[in-house]
Amino acid sequence: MNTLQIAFRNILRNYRRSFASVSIIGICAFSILLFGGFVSSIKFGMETNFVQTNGHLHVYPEGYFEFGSGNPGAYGISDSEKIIADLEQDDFLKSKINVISPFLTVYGIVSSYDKNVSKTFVGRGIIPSQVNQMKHWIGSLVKNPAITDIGFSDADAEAGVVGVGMGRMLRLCQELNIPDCKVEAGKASQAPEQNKAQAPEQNKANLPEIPDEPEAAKQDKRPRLDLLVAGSSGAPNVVSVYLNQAVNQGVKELDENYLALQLSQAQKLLYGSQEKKVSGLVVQLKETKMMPEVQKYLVEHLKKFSSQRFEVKTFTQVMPVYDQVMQLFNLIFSFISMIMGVVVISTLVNTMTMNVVERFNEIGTLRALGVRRRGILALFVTEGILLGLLGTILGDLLAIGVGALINSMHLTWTAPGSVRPAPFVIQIFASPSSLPLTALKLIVISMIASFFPARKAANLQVVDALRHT
Amino acid sequence: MSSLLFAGSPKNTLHLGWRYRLDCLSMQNTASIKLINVSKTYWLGAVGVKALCDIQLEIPAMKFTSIIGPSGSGKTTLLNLMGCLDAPTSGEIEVIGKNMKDRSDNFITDFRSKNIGFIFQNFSLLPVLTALENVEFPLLLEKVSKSEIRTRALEMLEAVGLLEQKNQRPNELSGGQRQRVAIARALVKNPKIVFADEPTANLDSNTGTNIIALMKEMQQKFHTTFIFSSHDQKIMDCSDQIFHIRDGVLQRESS
Repeated sequence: MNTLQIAFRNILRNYRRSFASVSIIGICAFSILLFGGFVSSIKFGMETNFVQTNGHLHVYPEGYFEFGSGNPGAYGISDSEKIIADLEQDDFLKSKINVISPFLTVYGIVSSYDKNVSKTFVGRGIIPSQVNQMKHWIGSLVKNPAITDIGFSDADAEAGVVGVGMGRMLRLCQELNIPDCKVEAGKASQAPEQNKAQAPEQNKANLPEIPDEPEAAKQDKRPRLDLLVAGSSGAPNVVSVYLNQAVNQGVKELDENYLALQLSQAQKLLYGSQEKKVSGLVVQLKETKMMPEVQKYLVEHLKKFSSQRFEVKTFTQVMPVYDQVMQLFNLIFSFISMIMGVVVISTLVNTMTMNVVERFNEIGTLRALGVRRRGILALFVTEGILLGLLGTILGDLLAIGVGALINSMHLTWTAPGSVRPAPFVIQIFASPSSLPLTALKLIVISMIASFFPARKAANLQVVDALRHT
Repeated sequence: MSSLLFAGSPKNTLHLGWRYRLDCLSMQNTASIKLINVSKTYWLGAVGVKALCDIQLEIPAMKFTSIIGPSGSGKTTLLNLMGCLDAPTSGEIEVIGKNMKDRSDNFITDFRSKNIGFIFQNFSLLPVLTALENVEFPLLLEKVSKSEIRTRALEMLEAVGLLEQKNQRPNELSGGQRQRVAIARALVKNPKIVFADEPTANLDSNTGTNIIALMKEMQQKFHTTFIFSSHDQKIMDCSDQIFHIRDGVLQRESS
């Protein structure tokens, strides 16, 4: 017979009250774990979405991140193939890097000749096979079946995709099979002949000459867009892109301006016949936890290309929305945890105070028999800890069970900044420490909550305690 | 954590031959308890209620001593002071030669644990423990092996005639059986003094008679000093010494 056994028996003695306390603590533990699992799901969902699209690290020429969008031609990485080959062969990086892919961002005007409409665009020149490889990175614990490829292949030299909003504005709803696509009132597409007739002769003189459609291209039934960009030399360049599909980009502003095309096409647009450069390199790692050390290594390693200066940014720096969303959810999580902590404290203080008041005579007896004050304190604190422990075990089991049930339903949700539905998964085990840490926190709270009633019990005068019957 | 309840208790040695106290002869003619000008005042707000006035008292060792008086006369207060459960407002108390004045709470607790046993009117058994565990409990506070604790507790339960009920909890026992367990618990550590505060008050007449007989038997068997507070004539009849108290003042002593 020891303190633990006596404390356990005391808990069972008033089992209804103990059960109520254990249940409340259990529900608190359950809520914290379930919401924690949900926050983990959001974290991994967003991280996976960002990393699949943009990789972990971005290597830019110095200054591009701040000023590049204003003048992309002035900030380019030369000899990108050589740099990529060097990084891919590096012993340190070899085991850590999944994909290194170059990209080129261009800004200009896009025009649909057939629809007689034009607008500004933000184009991203990519290598489709590498982007597809990046899309299959699995960061979260669950594979997302909704992942689809970029929509065009390396072999299709003039292919591209646009955002759904861009497709709508270019009146390509039908051609790109855009669902629920509204057509602007009174702006039905005009025939190319009518378009030609309406085009003022003086304006034609100012525009670069649109190349004649090759015979093969005339057979292509895909919608054609003509892109006009001010090249790095200042002269306007034009290329044509044939659209395979429209892909929702999630954010309206981006969706209405987005266009993805082959890297070679984008280079042709921006650099014409000059040296072909890229805006940056996307580095996707095998695991996110490698990010800090690889970033540090890259910063040092790239110094060997002395003719160029680079900066290496993480995806959280490139897309601050990730940190902002995580901060928001962490704040909500902390707030909920705090409320749960207060609930546990008030429940246990109430329960333990009742236990102390009901057992005044017993406390007096124990003291008369020779139990010191700290023995009484230990007995009641142990009872509080046991209630906390039992509640935590109950909460853990509930959270694991309900989490498994929710996961078995295969629900989906769309993460902030994402367009693809991702599996809604309660990742209770995402962090190995989440269960023991929650349990430890609740047990410490239980200990603190039971300390004050226990101290009251320990400080009772023996004769006063014995007087109660 | 598991041993904290029992932590800090005196590490005194309980000898195996606990029944045969070697010091009993030397104690026979000495005072077990000595009260010198002891007064006790309870404060109800600003109003002081004097429960005991200048008590001068010596209780001999190994005797059956009763303190009697009407309700509110101060019997229990006197018993509590002698049992080191309370401190006097003024005066000094010596228990087995130790002056209790200005002693720390831990010292007094350990002293109680080592030297004093209690039998309460309402039995005060620990409800979550069986009869055997209740008797074992005081021994858990000492550095005694588990097997020895079990042996002694069983012997004591046998002595009070409750061996068959050893695994029953207090709520499964009758009033008389509970008081027997309380007696066994009070005596299991072989204390020098046992205080019994109206031990027969909650018992029927026959059971009360049996309990008194049992305590008398135990007192003779273990040479323990028994001090009672009681109205019970049966207790007075078998007492070696009786102190009468009224309104907090010791009236007289009779044998």
